[in-house]
Amino acid sequence: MIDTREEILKLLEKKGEILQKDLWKELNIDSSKCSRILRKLEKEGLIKRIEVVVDGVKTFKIVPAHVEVEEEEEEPSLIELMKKVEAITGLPPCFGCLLVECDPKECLKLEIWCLRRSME
Amino acid sequence: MKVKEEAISEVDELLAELIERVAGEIGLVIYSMGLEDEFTDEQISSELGVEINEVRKALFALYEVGLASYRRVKDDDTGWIEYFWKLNYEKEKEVLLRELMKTKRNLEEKLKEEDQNVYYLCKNGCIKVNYEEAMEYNFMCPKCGSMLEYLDNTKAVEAIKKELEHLEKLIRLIS
Repeated sequence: MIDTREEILKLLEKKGEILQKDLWKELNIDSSKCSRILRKLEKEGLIKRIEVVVDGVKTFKIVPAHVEVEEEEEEPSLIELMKKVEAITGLPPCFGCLLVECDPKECLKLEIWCLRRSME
Repeated sequence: MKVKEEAISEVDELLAELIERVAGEIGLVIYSMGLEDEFTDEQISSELGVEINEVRKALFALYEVGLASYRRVKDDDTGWIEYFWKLNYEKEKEVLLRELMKTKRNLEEKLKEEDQNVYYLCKNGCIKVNYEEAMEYNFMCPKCGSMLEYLDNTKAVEAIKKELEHLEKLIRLIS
């Protein structure tokens, strides 16, 4: 237990922040154990957990306790997102997407892919 | 013969793209090592000089897409759980086909949606909405207040159709 706690804190020191859904995979522990340890670490004031939505799934962003938590950023506009994914070419984002449940009609990544393609 | 070689390299490129998208560069390197036998994350980590956490992350990603599997063994003395990994090279085709079919299905759904709707885009590019939504917003962007303008999606529809043809070609190539 102590090893995992320390491993989490070290990882945070190095990376600055990490998503809970990535953390347990990296540490090779199961997700419920990970969430238990994180809750405890938060109680002890060693970390902060910020609820975020990634690819439509709720998870926590884990940051060291000393990090100032900024106000939630406003959703970026389509144009901003399109600039960000400029590098994405080739096949649509669905290829290799690991989301189990998705609605292609609502998927922002697919929307941006289509918009980009139509502007080429 | 030449045609066949080209087909093989195209499939290889496709596989590389899939692995890189799912498991990143490290995933691709691990997969390219041609490991036929079982291995542990520590072995890979020391062989590649990459941090063990990065190796695990890549291996779990490969597992999620179906290109790796593992068995867990608990060491009774230390209580540590060790993972023995194996790469599923024999599943390459199956995984590629599944991903291509899924992409095709999603694009077909998107095409239907684009064909059936009329869209409006904010002048500043904040949002894209359909006609009903644009009406509700009174043709003003709810974010920045600019006009919502009619979006000609002919090109988007064309691009999706073209991509669908491309996907069908790839699916034929692999099946």
